[in-house]
Amino acid sequence: MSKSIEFVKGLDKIIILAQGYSWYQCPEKAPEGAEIWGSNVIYRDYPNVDRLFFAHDIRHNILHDDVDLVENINKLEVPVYTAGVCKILKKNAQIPILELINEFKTGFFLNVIAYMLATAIMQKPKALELYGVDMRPDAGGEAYTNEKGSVEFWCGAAICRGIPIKNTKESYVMKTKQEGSFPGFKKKVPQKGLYNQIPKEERNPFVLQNYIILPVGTEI
Amino acid sequence: MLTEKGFKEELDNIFILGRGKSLARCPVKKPEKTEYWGCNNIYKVREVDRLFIMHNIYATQFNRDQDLIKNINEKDFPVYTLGDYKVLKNNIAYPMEEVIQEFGISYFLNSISYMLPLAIMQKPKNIVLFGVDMSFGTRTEYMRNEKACIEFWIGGAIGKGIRVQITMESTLLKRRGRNTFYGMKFVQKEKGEHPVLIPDYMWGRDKCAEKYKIIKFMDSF
Repeated sequence: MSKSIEFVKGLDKIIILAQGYSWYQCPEKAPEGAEIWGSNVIYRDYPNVDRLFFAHDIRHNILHDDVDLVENINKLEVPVYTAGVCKILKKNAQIPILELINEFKTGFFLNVIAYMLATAIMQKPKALELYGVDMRPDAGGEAYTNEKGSVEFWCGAAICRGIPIKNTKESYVMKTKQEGSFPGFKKKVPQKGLYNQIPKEERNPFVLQNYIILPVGTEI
Repeated sequence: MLTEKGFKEELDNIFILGRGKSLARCPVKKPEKTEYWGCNNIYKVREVDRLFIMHNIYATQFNRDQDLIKNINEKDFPVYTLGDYKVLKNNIAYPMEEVIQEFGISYFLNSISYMLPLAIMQKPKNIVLFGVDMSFGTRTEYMRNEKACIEFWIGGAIGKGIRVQITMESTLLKRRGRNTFYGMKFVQKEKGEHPVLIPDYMWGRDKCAEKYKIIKFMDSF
């Protein structure tokens, strides 16, 4: 049965599933008393999510990952939380950013996982589990490096509120090196966004200026 | 248990002092119900209540402060270390076992990350960081991990309801060139007005279609 848009307090476990390499280690289905919260387009690899979170505009993912994103998400009928309002999605609510600031008196959200962790902490689950939240250094970039700290910040908040965190061996969160070696590794579904419809050699910022993106049907 | 080791209860503030430039902003005169906790040779610039030397003290003496042992033995503050140093007058072993038991994690990548959990355990109203700047200029992988580690413990303090204050110069809880609300942006509608946090819609359009198409309209190269 699909979930209500309202969050559930006091769950046994909230599983946070992101798109890092260790995503596939997530249990196939949420155990009783638990929910699986997915980030971005993880539904393509793992459709059994209970809630989905996008912090950047979903059109980024339409361009890069899934040209049929809206149709596919609406078919899932799961609540989808976004930074802004997204009326094209059947079951949409905004990430409760103001509530989070009010609760924690701080705003350190450098990626969608940070929002998910903070929102999860507010629901007071008995435990948190992370899959695909790998924060690998080889993902590169100054911005990405800082994101690791943001994720760890919220892990610290959870632990100090008495919520234990279980993570995959391969994740770099609260560590400086990878411990596991991805046993039973599964590849992700390849990207199939709008940009995949143009020749590969033209997918660069210069040639892309020759292209225009237009809505099909009404924008709401 | 920690009070038995000379820790005070009911502090308003614990000021944690690192070696970054913003240490200069730490008041010389200590506010009431406040303790100054410094690391390494910070005792030279501020009167600390507790000193933390998490490296081997002989290495610290060799690398940073030739008269370290002599100097700190002339002071009365306790010196927390990981090893047992009989050569120090007021040496106290860092209560590693109690800290790990309290938080259920062993995650310490620098001196500050040892000091923060111990400070959290004292339950002060505020933890204030001076000189803990974690400069973006120090772009090694090592430094990047340390920043995240300190942010982990700051999150821990926030989780416990302790207010954490950081100097403007510090990079902690920040990202270069962007705000800290992913997917959001600050706008100032008129000059002098307070900026407002709003969703950062793509193409500046808050309306979205179910599908989009991509069309080539010219062939420049």
